[in-house]
Amino acid sequence: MANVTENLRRLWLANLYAWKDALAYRLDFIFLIVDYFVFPVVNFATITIIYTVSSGIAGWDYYQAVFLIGLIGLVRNVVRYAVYPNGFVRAMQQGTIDGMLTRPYSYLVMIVSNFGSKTCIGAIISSIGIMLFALPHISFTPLTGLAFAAMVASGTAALIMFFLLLILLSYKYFSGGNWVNWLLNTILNANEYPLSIYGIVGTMFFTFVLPVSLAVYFPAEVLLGFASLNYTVGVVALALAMAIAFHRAFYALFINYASGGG
Amino acid sequence: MKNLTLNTKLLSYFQIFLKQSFAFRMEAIANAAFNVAFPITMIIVWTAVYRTTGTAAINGFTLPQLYVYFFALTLSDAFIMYGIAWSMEYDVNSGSIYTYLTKPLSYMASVLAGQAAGLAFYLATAGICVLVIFVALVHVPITAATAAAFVAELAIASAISFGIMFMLGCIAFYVPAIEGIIDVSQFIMMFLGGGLVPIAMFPKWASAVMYILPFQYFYNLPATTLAGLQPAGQLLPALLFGAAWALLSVMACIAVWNRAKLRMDTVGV
Repeated sequence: MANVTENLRRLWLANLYAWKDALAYRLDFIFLIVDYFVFPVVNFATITIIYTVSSGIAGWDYYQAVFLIGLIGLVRNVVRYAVYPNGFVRAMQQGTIDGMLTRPYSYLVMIVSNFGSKTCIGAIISSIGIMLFALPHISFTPLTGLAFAAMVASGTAALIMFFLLLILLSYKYFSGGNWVNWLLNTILNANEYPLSIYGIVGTMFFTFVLPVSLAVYFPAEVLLGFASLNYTVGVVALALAMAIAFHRAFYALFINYASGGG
Repeated sequence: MKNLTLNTKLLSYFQIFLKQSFAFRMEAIANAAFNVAFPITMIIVWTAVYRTTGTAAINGFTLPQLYVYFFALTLSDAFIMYGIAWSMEYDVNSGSIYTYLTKPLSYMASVLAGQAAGLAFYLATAGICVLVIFVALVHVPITAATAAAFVAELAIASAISFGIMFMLGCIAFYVPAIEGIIDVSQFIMMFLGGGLVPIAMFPKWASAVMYILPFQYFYNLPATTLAGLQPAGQLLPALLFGAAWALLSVMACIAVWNRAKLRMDTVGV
């Protein structure tokens, strides 16, 4: 328990430090916050235009599609807040991560503390705003709300562990990892729309190969009433199983990590 | 060394930057894959939208024309010189911009050579993938005149974006960190230029403004030209208007550079 408290304290302090660091260049910080804030807003504008000029996507009304846009923005930026691939890879390439690993905290806490993008908060705020805009037009019960929250949380945990593992694999085999950031963007862009448009193969792909749907599409389906509550248990169980499996694989690779720095 | 012409120097820089680009092959393969992902995603989305709406055309676009539009966006994106501002920010803040003072080519020309190498690298890797899938998926007749107009518009887009991004990069001489400024500007230019949705799909008041801005030359004009949506009579005026924007942008960029470089100071080296 003491260990958990220490790690949480470390996480809090690291976040505080990261915020102060980000605020060192105030003008740039403001622009970065605005920048991130604008991304989900532009996606919101895009889906609004699609629904203005057409009937949209079968089975999904405007507010449901907007809610999905908000949710993907939220998940995307929570993942980025925790892990920003470029920073993590650079730290391994330059060896700056080595010193951090000698400290008496969980390596996972060290990574999440140091290699996230704090300015993503701008996008988190606008994404929540978009979800709140759509929420009054969506009917759901407290129970489906809880199930939704559990699925988003477990799915996001699985997604974060998946990306950490991918970054490490990329570093080990390709000595780089910028492409992981591109992959993150590409698959999350694809998940801004209901997965039904990709058919069963696409849904499987975004569940078992690139596990984004566990954090976005399936929770949205339950909240919006497209799927029953029973669905939740399976989705949460699968997400947790994936998170644990990715974590184990990550740990096995990480203890054999070879620093790129001198 | 003194006898080297400007063209020879530019070519040498181009070759060096090209070799640097090819040093990271995995990145090249990934870049190719992700470049193809964007138009394919948009095609799937819009196919679903057309199916739901049950109409042959939305705001003047048939589905095959939208296919062309999104593939053309991917190609034209490579010609937009977004990278200039990023590399200038790095050069100014790291102090490496000083090293250019000792080199036999002006900083502006070397930046241009770097961008040209990046474009050549893209065309040789991701560009080929985009073209192959484009030909396989899209069955819209494209005439030689349309293709020529498309190429001319890409050249105009490159010139306009060179000026704008170079001016943005010059802000690094005045403000220590400009990542946010560059990124937000880039995203807004992309949106206003029709990089996510064709300008014709926007509300009338918005599209009226967007057609005046130079950003439509980045995406909307080349893509609608290739899709056969630009009437032949309007192409020449559009090209002339774009050329005027390009001239204005480059002249403004030279004026800004002449002032900004007086502030050249470095903590690096």
